[in-house]
Amino acid sequence: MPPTPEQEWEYWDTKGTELRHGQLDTVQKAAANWTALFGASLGIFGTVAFAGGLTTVDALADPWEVIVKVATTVAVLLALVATYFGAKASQALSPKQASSLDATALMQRAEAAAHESLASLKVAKVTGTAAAALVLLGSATVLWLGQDQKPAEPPTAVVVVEGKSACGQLTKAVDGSLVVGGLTLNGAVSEFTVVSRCP
Amino acid sequence: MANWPDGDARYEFPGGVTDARKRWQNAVDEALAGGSLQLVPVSADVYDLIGKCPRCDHETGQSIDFGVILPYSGPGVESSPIATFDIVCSCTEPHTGRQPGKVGCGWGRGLPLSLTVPDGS
Repeated sequence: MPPTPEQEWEYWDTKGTELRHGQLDTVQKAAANWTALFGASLGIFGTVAFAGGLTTVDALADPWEVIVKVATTVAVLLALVATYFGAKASQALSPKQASSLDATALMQRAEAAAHESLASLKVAKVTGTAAAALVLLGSATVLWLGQDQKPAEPPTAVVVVEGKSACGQLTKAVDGSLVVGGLTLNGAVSEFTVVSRCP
Repeated sequence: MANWPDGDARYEFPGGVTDARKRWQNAVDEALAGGSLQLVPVSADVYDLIGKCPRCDHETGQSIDFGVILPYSGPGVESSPIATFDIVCSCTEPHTGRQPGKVGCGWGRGLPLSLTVPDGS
């Protein structure tokens, strides 16, 4: 049975009285929500930014390293936006002081607030979904591409051949002989030491 | 249209009465100006509106908060020197047609009125 105009008025008048009596609860709830929002924002950064592991991302071949880093950054921003709009949809972030409180105006405020909450919720859902998708894609990229397989470089060595010493990268001469630091390794090699770099 | 005040006025919800809001506004304004209705301060923003109902002339009273904190904003100006409230008769005198559990002669319900915010609120 739809309410009569008087019943409708009585409902919103009762709501107005409840809100007036619960003003302190309204502000406390907003404060608690802001605290939770800050905590969630920090948690999001840690979760999203390190989803793939920073050292793993650094080891990706180009251009995937850049792509995954950009995707991670965008995902963090989207997740922060989603968290804010999700909290805003609760209509418990920004209480306002008003000099008027009649049942009709309260009904109008509640209706407008409901529409506003719905719009905020839509933004939260879209950005939250986009953030989750980016995190999953980034993680899948790291999982399947793995570390960059760079071609092996020839070693650097210190060699002593027939009393002469030399240091350099092991290379191959035109005639096929091996050379280190200009010394051809075709004679008696008395020492061959692999080093990270020449002294 | 009935003459006011009328102590034997029938209970009615004035929602469908022609020009009800304008008549009620004028009646309350005159009562405040004449002193039969008074705004008595209770705290910085809260006042008691007490006196005689302009329609039935019975004792009525209600609390008015000029600075209520709401969990959400909405249409209208948040802070204004003119505020709107439901000024409702809350007399306990009998009125024909009133359902058990209700008070007043019915007028004021659904008729938001403008009140000038007192200085200091």
